[in-house]
Amino acid sequence: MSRAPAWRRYLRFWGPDVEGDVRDELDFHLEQRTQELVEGGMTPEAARREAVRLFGDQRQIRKDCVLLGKRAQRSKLRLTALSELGTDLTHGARVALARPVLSAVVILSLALGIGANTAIFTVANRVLIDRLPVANPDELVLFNWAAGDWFNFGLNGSIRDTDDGKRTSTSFSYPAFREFANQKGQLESIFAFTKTGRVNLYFDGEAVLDGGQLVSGTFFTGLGLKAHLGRLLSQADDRVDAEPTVVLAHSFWQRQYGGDPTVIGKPIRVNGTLFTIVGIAEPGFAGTLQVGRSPAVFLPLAQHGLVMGNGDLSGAVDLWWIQVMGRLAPNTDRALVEQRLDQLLVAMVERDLGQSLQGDEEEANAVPRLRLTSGARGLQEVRQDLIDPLVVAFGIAVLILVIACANTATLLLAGAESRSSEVAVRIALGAGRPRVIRQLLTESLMLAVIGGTLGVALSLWLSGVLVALLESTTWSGLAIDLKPDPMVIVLSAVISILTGVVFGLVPALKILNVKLPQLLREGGRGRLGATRSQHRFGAVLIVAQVAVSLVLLIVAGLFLHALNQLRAVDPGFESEGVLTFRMSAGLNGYRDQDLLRLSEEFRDGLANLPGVTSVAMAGFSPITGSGMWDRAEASDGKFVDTYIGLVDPSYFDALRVPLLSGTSFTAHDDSDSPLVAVVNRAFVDQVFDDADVIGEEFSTGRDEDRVTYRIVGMLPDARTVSLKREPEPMALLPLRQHSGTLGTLTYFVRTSGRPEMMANQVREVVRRIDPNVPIFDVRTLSEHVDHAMQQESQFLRLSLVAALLALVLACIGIYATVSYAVSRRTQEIGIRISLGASRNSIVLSAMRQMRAVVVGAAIGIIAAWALSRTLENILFGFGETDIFSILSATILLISVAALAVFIPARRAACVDPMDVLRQE
Amino acid sequence: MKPKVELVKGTLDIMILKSLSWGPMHGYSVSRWIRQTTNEALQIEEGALYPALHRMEERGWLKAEWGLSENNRRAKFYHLTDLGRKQLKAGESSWTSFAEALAKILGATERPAWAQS
Repeated sequence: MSRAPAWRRYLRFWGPDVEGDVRDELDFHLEQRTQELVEGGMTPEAARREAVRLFGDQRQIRKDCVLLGKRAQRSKLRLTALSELGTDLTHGARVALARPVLSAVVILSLALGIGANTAIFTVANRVLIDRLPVANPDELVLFNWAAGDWFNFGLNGSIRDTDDGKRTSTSFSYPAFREFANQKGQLESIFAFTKTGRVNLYFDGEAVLDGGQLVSGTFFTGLGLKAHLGRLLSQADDRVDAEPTVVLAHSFWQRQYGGDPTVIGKPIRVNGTLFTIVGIAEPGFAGTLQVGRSPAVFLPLAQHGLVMGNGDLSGAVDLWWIQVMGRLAPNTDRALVEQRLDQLLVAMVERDLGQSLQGDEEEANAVPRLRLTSGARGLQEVRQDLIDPLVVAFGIAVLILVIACANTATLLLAGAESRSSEVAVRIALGAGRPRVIRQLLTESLMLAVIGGTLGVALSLWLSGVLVALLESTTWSGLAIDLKPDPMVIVLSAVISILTGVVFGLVPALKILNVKLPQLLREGGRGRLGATRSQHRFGAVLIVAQVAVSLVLLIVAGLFLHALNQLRAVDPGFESEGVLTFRMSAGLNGYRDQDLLRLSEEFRDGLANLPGVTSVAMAGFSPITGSGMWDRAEASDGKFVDTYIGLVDPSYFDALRVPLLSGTSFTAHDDSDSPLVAVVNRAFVDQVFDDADVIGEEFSTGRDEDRVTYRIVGMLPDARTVSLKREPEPMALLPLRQHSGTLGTLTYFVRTSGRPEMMANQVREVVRRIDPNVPIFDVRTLSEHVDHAMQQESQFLRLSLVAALLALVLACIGIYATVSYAVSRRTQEIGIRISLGASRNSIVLSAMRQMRAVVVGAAIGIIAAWALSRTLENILFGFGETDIFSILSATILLISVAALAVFIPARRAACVDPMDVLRQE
Repeated sequence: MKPKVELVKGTLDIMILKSLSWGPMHGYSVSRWIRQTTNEALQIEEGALYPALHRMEERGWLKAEWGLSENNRRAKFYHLTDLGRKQLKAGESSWTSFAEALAKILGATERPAWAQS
């Protein structure tokens, strides 16, 4: 009888041995059959031959059996893997539920870290990455110019400082656009556009205020857009003598007309003028204005006089107010095109504005030079304003994720130690190490996936918060679509899974690095892996967490400092007790003297309201940073770029604006009397040699437009234009002397009671005088001031929440680490106490964990200091690194951390030595 | 020697199921039980039994376990699963009615009216 060799049993170590089993089974049959035949009287040899003959085709049968066996084996393996996953999951859930606090902290910290990052990605994706939904957006170029720190033309549009001390803008004059368009050279197409601000849209007996965009006739073809319905604007529409036509934005058409296709050909009144609707733009196309600004209507640029009500600007070479974009033909050299267009611009400036590169250094330096930047995303300024806040928010989010990960690692590591006995027993009972790793990984992955899912849900809310934060930097609403992007979701999933794998694998490998006998010996007492490297790893995690939390705390402190400094700023007026609103009667066809009369009628009507102590109006909105700028020149040729504010005589009284010298305006300063002005100290310092300027004169404008003003009063310096900038030179002029340039007026109503209670009465007065005039932005002046500080206060709130969160997470991490470190030493401590060590010395020795805290704090201070250098450029008041903020944040962190170390250390010192000795 | 009968397709499965209905057996006992019960009347290659057993195991009709035979040898024992028991029941009734029908046909004594003599 042949027997299977004993060694073959070991093959089973790697899994079932199908071939061996089949051979065993068939051999057994043949042996039994042979024996049966021998018992029937045959010789052994004959019996063997007969058994084989009766059996049939041995080789074929063997092959079939092996094949079948292997197939069965495979499906069995699949089933096992599935059921093992099920076991892992249920086991993981049971483990997670058995230590709810630890699981909850891990899940929540991951959810916060992942949620914050997902939210930032979502918003950044929309703001910074999305391109215009047009054909080949990368071929589009946006015209810019950069010049020295002054320019002698009027500018409407945003202006920014460049890094090399110049000013840059995207605004050009109408004639400049025409000249570019005539000589476009290698540009495939060139088109212009500008925002209209709010326009009064009247249709079907209903008026709404919404944004509009003036566009040249080449705009839609240049972008390569098609009409959703009807047709888009063409060159034929873009003529002053053409019938006024308008294209509606798809979203506006859906919102206001419910997507009614019969609107094509219908009239709509735009600021009082009848326009015919000729088409609907493609859905998703929201104009080429700043991000989040979506115009409701597209109007022909040539009709700007009808829409804006400020006359025909088509020949004005000294008012730069429209934006120009072009499309580069494929394979053209952008630098070459830029050079040709620049020559064109320089020639125009020399011809029209008398400013030449051949002039003295200052003049040459101030000549605007043309640059082409990418137009793939439309206008860029607001985007650029958003980059800094996004970077700050992103930094905070990454730090929170780092904390969350470090915390997860700390907790899982500590948790894994307490489970070493379980793992030891499982390995001893025959669970393979890969199997154990898989189990531990499944557990951490489960926590990570739950955390990630919660995080994505959280991000839906967080991205809304973030947009609110960003809106405070741009004044107007940001209509950003916050639908979660599939790419962003994938990114978050990858982050969660990576976190789960990395921070599950570390403790799993820690456990498995230890030899089994040691596991079994020590497992029961939870002393597993009290190795040097493990101590070091725990210490590194504490250092990281402390450093990151301290950075966040210090940043929060610096934001608080910045906000306090901002609050202490003098805006030059008293904002308490004043209600403001804005009124654009110009949109209803009031012009010049009519407009002046109407606005004064409003003012007097408001002044008669009970509880109102004074009413003022002005042609600008203080502390918004926006307004009119002009170049003021003294008789000796010294000049200054000054902010110009139109105010009525009661402005000084109603806003409690003090005068350093001279007088304010009177009701007699009107169009019949000589032009007067009140200027501030900054203005005086730049133009005049001494401060006694009452009666001095300065002038603005050039040649036949030149006007001269006599100074009647001087204001102290204050941050009236913008809270965050040094006091700008400012000249206040009487409204009545400049009724021709009146646009939107701001009213200030000072009340003896609470100003917000007056809002309805104010509306009632306006309605009584002319119900068709829209008023907007009704809020208190204090709200205005608060709004100007909103970015700082939002950042403060954000960083404060992040810092507290980080602090709590770090303390939980420290507490867990110290607790486990101490519990591993219970025996040692017990023995020491019984040998006479004092409890205080035990506490002190456990407090050695504070070394990691101190190292982390040192790293945190250095990092925060470096960071505050970067933030300095972003936010007001970051110039001086505030020692107090750093110091108080550090003290707060160290004391809280010390508490987290002390509590478990104290508990260790309370060990009863008898208990420990009994256990030994 | 008695005349041997060729095996009809599908009958091997039902025979295996029936033999295992007495309790767990190894392959050799199954083959011996079939031989003895039919008085060795069936023309069957003994080895053909094994692929059939394995196929039925894969389908879940049988389950196998290694154990010790009567003479203390390692042997693979098969037993019926619930599914196997159901198969046996279904097979029994269909085979019985088939056999009865066949018996009626072969036992017919009257010539049908349409048949020509």
